[in-house]
Amino acid sequence: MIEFQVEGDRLVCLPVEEIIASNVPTMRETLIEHLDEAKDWNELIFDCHKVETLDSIGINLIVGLFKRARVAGKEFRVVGCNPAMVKVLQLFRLDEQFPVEAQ
Amino acid sequence: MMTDDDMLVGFLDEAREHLSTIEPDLLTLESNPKDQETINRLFRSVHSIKGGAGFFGLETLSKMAHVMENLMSKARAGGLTLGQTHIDALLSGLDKLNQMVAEPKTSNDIDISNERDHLESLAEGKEAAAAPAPTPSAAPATPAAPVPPPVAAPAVVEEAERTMKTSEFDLPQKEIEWVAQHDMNLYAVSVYLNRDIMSKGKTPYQFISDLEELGRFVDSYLDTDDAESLEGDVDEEDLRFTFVFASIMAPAVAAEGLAVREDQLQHLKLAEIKDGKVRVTLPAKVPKKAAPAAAPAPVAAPPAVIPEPEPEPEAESDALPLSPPSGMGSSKVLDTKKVKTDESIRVGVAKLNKLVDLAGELVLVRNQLLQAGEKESKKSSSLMSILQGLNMVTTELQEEILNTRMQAVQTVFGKFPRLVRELGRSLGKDINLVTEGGEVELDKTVLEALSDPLTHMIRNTADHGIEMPDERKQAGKIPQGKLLLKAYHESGQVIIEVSDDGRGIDGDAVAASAVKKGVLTQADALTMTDREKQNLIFHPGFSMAKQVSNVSGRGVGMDVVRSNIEQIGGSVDLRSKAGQGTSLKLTLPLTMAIVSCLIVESEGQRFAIPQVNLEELVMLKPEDYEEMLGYVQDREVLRLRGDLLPLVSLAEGLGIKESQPKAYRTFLRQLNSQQAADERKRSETKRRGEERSDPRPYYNLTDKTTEGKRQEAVRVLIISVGINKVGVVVNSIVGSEEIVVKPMPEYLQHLTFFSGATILGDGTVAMIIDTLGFVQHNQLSLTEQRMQGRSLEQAKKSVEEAQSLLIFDNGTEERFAITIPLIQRVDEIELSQIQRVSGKDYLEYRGEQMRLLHLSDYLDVGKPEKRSEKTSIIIPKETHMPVGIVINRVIDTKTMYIDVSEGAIHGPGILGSTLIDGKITLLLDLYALLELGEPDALHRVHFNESKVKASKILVIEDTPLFQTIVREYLSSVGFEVDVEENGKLGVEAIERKHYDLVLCDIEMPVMDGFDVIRTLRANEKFRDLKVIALTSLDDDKLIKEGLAAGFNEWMIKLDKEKMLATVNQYLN
Repeated sequence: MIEFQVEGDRLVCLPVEEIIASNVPTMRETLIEHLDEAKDWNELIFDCHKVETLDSIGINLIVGLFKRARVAGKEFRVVGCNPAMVKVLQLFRLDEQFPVEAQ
Repeated sequence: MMTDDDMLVGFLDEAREHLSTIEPDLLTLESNPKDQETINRLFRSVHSIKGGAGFFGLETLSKMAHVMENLMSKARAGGLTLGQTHIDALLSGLDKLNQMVAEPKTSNDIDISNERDHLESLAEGKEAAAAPAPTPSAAPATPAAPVPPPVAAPAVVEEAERTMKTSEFDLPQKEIEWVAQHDMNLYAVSVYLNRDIMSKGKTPYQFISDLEELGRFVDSYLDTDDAESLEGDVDEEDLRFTFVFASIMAPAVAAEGLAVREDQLQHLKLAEIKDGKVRVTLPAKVPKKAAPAAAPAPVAAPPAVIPEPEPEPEAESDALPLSPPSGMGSSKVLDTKKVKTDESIRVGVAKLNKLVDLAGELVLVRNQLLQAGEKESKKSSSLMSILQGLNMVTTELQEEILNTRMQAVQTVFGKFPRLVRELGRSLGKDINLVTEGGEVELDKTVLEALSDPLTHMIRNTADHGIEMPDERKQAGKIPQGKLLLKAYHESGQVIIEVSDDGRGIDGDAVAASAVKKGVLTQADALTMTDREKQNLIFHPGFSMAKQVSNVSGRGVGMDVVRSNIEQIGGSVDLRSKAGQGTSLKLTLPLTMAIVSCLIVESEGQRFAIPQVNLEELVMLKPEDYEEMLGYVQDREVLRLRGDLLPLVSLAEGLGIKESQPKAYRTFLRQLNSQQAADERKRSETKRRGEERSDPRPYYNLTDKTTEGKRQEAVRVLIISVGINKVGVVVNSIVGSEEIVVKPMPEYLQHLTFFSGATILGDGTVAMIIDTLGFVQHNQLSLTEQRMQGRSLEQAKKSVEEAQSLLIFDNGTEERFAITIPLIQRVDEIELSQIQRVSGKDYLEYRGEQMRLLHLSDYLDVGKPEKRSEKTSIIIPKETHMPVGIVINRVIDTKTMYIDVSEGAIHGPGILGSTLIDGKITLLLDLYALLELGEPDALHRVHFNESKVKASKILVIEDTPLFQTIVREYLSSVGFEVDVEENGKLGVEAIERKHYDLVLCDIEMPVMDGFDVIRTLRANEKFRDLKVIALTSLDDDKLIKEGLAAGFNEWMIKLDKEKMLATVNQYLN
């Protein structure tokens, strides 16, 4: 499940369950659907403060989301990351591609 | 909490498990080198050992495993086909692994250079291998250089789906310095998020955290170049994470430590990256979208430092799918894995043993409770059902606990394919090992005790049983010998058979060899059946090989095999047919903790006798005594369906004093004294020259006492030990019971006739009889005991003292023997030549009148009804005038050790009887016969009568025959003669009693003749005692030595006249 909030030109995506293999397919469909509908955003914010676990498939999702934003020429940012997620994203050097913010 | 030691023990356990599968797998590969499944399993096993060993600092072990793994890795990738050379090298590597796992502490000192070099050169294809090894030639360490597609082998096609990818890092100088300072190794590693992390049930964070325990990330990045946008198939996508990692782990174990394959990792040399620039090329998966295009393309040759890429990426993850088809799929896979790990746990054997012990105790308490409860249950009706419930649960509990220690026989069988393979090769024989029933289970302790004996039997079979291929062909067999190893259940026991289709055991050759080795006398050999001869291979110190070979000559004999098997409550049965093969059948108990026993009572005590050793129970009624009891070789024997079995009472055999003599004993004693009385009576009759009033043969025992009939019945247990049977008399039989064995406390373990103790249902303690120990302790074997406990020296001696006998018959059913040295000649005569003069027969022989003696005229023997026209005569030596003894014909001549059983058959002119070829043979006293028939023919030594009466002579002699002869000779003249059977007893007798003369044998057990004379001469009291050496040792050097030691005279045995003359000389 992902909740969406629009704050000005920012579209905030708030996953309320773990970003893991079993949840990712649904999340991805929801995201594609919503991003197609809401076209007026300039910055996509992926808020992970309700997320504890991020697995490999979850990484794929985030990278996919980033690519999607970049292709559209929009900003992308991951916020509300717990220390584990920060560490992983940093080691993957993803923080060099988009901003990663801790909780 | 687990300590490092616990973990090491855990690793070693696991390593042993792996090792046990490697050998059979290698042998499978030898016959089927393409068996991918086996190659994979092998690879994983060696790989696991390598990894663990590296962690625990067992570097040598890790290195050894590493080179083996390399070779297997090549084979796995299809780079080479494993031929015999490879398998040999891997097997020798395996030996080293085994050795190191057995001694982990010293494993780093073990030299593996030979094995390692050999394996390495094989892996590099330098050594010519039995199979061609199409190793791709090395290519530069650059990304995929297109080369023409090779002739497609399946492995190569798979190879084409892979590619290499170069990654570049710019490492901070600070990091490089830190790594150098801490003397760390630097690795470049590439993993895929799904394939390498997800599939192991880890999140990226867990993967990173795990690795951080082993070192640190110096640099890293996730390759997102190929990543798709959200709309793409992100679930299927697998991103590549490449990192530079610093760790103290050695290169050999790094891959294992980091949980990646060898080819996913590259060891970076610090010297080469001083500027921080790192360029590594590591395998990459072909992006999914590019896959079709990649198909016809480039075979990537790996950089030199990186081992060949493997076609099966899942190998590391225990065959989990490369990437799960969906998220759900992956968690399912994880679940299965979890369940698998829970299926079994490791439990220490000590813990199991404790459980077995406790279950045993519980059973004992249950038994007692049942007995006590039975009385009480009448009062309370519910008690019985509770007891029954308890009974059932206890039985089941005990069974289950015992089951936990059960292991499949295969664990032992498993090591034989290699043994047989190697034996076959070193002996130049083609042997096909067939194993059956590997799934049959046995108690761990039984199984462990079985391993060595089985190994030895298989060695023996391969070495001696199976012939060389040429020999087999000549015998009309196929060149390949068959060795069958078979386990199965039979009547509650497990049978293991080792059989072959080889040459079989030649009983005569075995016996001849045994005689030569001195473990058997010629005489014993001649009385043995073929089966007994074959069974000689179980004798201590016996080895059939003409030359001690590497194969079976390892200092262990079949005797050890048998005693090992018997120690665990089993038995060995040997069946062999010359030319057709041999079968060794081991009968083993399922467990050693519970033994099915017969409880018997003797002298108020209860004893348990294992059923496995019980052949039958015989009830001996007083009316059977005469028919079934007797004396042979000075022993009480039981006659059972034509067999003579040694008979002993259980109490007596255990050294328990019998409160009242057993009925059959009284009978036997009477039998004995009656015989003695009869003899006296007969000899008196003879002396008086009267007609014999009693015409019955002396061995007729029909003169039964009425007392005997009143005696009660005797219960005899027939116990089998090896191929021998003995009869054991007990007071009563209580019943059979499954008993729980309590081992003997250490301070009682010297009592070899007990194997343990148990507590019976009524709470009393019963000792468990060790039948082998009991029989050995009591020397209860008619044919074999002579060899047991006798040193080689003594055995040789008995050969030296063996008698040459002329065996003949007199036209009746009786057989006779005379010692050949007393015979001058045997000649054939015609009856018509005999002239009868005043009641005596004469023959003109070589110009002289020869007196002929008929045995039946003077001895208690049968008279021939009719003689044939041609008959034989025996002419004795050293007679004043010619004398011939008329016989029917000579049957045989034999040299043998004689045990004269005086008790059973004895009479004037008869020294005694002995068994020759299974027949009772009477040993004639030639001089006594001459004295009876033609006294004038003998040289007579004239003794001073008063001297004779006053003189006491001691004969120290261990050989029963000589004891008898010498005593007979001396007492026939009237001397008082005592006999002692060894030097020690002799000296004691001399100290006790005054003797005028001592005749002393030289070769004797306990204390020999030399020691006797030295002891005596050292004592002033006996310095002048006249001692004559009486021996068959005729050696100048010995004689000189003997006289120097103090013997008054050295006399060679068995010349009556000379002996009497010498005695006379010294007494005057």
